[in-house]
Amino acid sequence: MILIISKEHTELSTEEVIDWIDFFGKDFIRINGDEFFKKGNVEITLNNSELVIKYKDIEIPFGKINSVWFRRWWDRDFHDLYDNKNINYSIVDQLIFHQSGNIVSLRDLLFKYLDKKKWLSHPSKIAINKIHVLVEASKVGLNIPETKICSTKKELIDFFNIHKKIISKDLNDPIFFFDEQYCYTSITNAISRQKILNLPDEFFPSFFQKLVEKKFEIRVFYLNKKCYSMAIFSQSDKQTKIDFRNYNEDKPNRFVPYKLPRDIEKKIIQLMQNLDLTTGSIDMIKNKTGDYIFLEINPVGQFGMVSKPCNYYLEKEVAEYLISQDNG
Amino acid sequence: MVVFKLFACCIPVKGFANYIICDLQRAAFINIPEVLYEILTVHKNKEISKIKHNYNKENYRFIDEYFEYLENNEYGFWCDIDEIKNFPDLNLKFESSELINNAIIDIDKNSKHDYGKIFNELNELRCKFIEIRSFDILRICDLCEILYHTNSKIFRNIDIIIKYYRDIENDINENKLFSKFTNINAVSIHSSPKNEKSFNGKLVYSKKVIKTCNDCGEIDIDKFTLNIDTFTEAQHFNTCLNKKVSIDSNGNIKNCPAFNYSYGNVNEGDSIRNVVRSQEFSRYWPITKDQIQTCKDCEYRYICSDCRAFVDSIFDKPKKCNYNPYTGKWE
Ligand code: SF4
Ligand code: SF4
Repeated sequence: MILIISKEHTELSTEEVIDWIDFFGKDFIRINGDEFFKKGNVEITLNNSELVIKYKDIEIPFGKINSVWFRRWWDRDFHDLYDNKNINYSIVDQLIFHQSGNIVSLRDLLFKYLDKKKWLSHPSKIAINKIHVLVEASKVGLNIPETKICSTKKELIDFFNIHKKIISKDLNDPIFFFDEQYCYTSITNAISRQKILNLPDEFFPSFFQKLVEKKFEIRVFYLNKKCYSMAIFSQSDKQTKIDFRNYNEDKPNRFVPYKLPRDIEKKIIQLMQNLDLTTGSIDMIKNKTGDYIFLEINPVGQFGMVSKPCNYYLEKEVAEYLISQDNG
Repeated sequence: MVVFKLFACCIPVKGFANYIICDLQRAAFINIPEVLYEILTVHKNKEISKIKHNYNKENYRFIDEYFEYLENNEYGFWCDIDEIKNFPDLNLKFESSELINNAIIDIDKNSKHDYGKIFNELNELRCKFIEIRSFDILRICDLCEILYHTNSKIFRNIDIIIKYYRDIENDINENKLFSKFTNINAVSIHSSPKNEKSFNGKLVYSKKVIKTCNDCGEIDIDKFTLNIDTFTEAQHFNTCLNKKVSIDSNGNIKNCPAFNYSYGNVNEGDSIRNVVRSQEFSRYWPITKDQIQTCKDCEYRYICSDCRAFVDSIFDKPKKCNYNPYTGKWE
């Protein structure tokens, strides 16, 4: 049996993988992380040495599960704490901190009992470090952009003077936060001389790279030693020049199937194996001089955005992989 | 050295009189002259100087202009000759994990459907798209009663077609139809006194009268669908009937509600799942436009809809299509 760990409202690709699993006649159960913690959904009983976890009144059949698909777990959402009229707001932050701890320990309990299963991908593996990944990519022979992490204006100016065009990135995953009017996000930004001059002398350690002048971007969905690649043409559009996630709705970028040269694919496979990753989305750039530049890996990448425009049926590939794991 | 490459999602299609490029990502098509079609297909991946060899000198200027137009309008790009192999064509395969993908449920004033049963069965079949079509007046509060049966099911899109009555917009507001049932794609109101859209295009008034299931099957340029799903499905299957099940107003289980024959009746206890599994039920699914007289010579054959109910014979062009691919005109 395949266990799918997901969110209640996820993107379509999760649903479509489930459709394929069902199509092949394979049993599965699905746990939604966000529902797991909702009142009334989980019950854990200790019968001496036997632990029984019930989710929505159904016992999780640990013995039958061989394959676990860890898709998404849960987005921090403590709205109900804020909705409580009687609450003293000055303690909300502390409560959230404490509650997060409780959630983590419940989650860890569940995961502990699934530890021996075959995961795609185990949460401990997907916590990768961007800088470490760059080092490893370079080790297998992939080109990477010149990179600097610094926290003083002086060092940043030196880096800027060498490369002239630089960008800043998030050390971690990009974040999105909202207020009534806007969505703020920490995606890739160009850093001009003026921006640097406006900075204080010292700042939080931040991640800078030389801007790679691109012919086009490449997004690779990697699964079990196979690369499914797509080229993204965004150059003609100012709005998406730096990071194609700045979607331009009217004239969407061009997404077309792409076949990486075999030697680049081999290096990617080597890199993923060295990092012990079975799947992930890889961002690359083909630069103006025709070189492939590796940028980063997202271990729980969205594959729908590669699958659909290229008609790759990756949802089916993922389902087949999960089934093969479960069978053997 | 470079060659001009169309983006893989921009696909040239040849008709008898006209030629088009289907842009499956930006959901649009453009007409192109015959010679450009030839350049893009017969002379695909050739250098521009080699392409020109095949034409008279007077035409060189036009060839340059064509490429300039295609580049400026982002239909393609200049690709290094060594890189052609890295840009494969879009594969046109079509696969589906569903036995049934879309369903029509017809209602008239005499219908006695067991909606609980119908929607449960469709849910089990993992059917994603639902169309509820009422020929007679169906009050919004009664519609809501029906829609409650669709809650917490797999349905991704629900389209509703109902007959106009005076307080309909008021009732929609009062019943909070769109916020209560968020998977409603659109509500179309037939037999209206006006043609108009509101609620961000989710509510569509139309003067068109839909009295029975026979008021269906018009082929209309406004209803063309340009996306990879439809384009690839059209290569292999019938774009109206493939993976469709219909419950007609009497509860008969059919592929198309306008067909005469039915394979069972939901209200008499027949199971939709059993019916759709039979070989007979899916006999029209593999009829593609490439096999249909006239349509096979039409440049729109992978983007227009189809109708197999109103035809002279099953491999003939839909009767309710006014396009003539031999003249290239709507008649
Ligand atoms: S076959 Fe014709 S009448 Fe039947 S559903 Fe399709 S378009 Fe309508
Ligand atoms: S002739 Fe056939 S293919 Fe062409 S528009 Fe009409 S129905 Fe579609």
